[in-house]
Amino acid sequence: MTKVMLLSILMMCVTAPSRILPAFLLSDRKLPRFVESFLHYIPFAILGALIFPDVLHATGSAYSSAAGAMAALLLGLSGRGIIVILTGAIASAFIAAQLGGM
Amino acid sequence: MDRDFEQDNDSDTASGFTDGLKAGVPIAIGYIPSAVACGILCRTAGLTAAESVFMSFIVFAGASQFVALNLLLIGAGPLEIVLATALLNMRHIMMSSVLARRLKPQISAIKRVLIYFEMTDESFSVAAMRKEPLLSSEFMFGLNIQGHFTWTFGTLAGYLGTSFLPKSVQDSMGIAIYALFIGLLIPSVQKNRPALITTSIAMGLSAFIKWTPIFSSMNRGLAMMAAAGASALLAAALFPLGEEQ
Repeated sequence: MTKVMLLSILMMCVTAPSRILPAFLLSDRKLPRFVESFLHYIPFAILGALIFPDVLHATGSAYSSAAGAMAALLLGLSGRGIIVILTGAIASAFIAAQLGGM
Repeated sequence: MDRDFEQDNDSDTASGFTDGLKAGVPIAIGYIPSAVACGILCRTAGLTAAESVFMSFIVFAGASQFVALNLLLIGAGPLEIVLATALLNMRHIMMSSVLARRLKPQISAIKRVLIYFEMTDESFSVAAMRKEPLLSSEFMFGLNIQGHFTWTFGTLAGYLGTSFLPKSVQDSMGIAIYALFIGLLIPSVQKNRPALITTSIAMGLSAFIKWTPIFSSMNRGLAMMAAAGASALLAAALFPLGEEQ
């Protein structure tokens, strides 16, 4: 057991409870309507906060990141499946990076 | 086309292990570049291959590992590292609170612990956006294992320098996680105006925190939790779930 492994275990010990404990406190309860509504909107809020503005640093260049994000947006709006969105975004970011580098 | 993952027999519950594995494919693709980068950083920070794999396997939290490795590099103490990790991962409190109400009630406590232990921003997002109201343990394990496996082995690949992809491709793949998030979000917000408003407000607050000088040094996990929490609270006040739900 090295120092880093010990550190990893400590990191796990502070990471795991925030993943696990709330679930057990909340699972079987009937909650007030406001709390239910709050929990209902959390996934949308989290996705928004995760996407923006960090998406602009996704590929190391704001230009190719924006190209990739735009492709994902357009493919998503046209109803494509997730794998198509992913590959389209990667390809667009790649092409934009190549063009930008010229 | 590839959106129809759910099985025909039990449309209320996202069921099988294979469904989970399939739903996890985009997550696996998205993890490759960060996992490889994590392995490279582990090597730079002077970890052994075993330590790197061990850390990725048991911590399994990308952002925390990057922060921890950078702190190690600048010679920070363990207390500081553990504290930064704890703050960064407080956002999972909101996620597991949501998932708690989506897992099938029959799932045993031990299985639940394992499911939540492996939960990440990405697996949470995929699970939360499923159309089925309830999720089975098999589905969740399939979903989580994809990411956990890719993360662990990607770290090793990066460490060993066999990143097997040219740098330019790897950089471009950095967009994958965000493309996944965008792809998950669009179908849900297209037909749901309150959800669209919630997302937009969270984006605005998140950008505000990041771009305002006094807040910009704020721990990113806390910033995200503040932005998402505030916008979900606002949405709950403005658009409470009612009879129509």
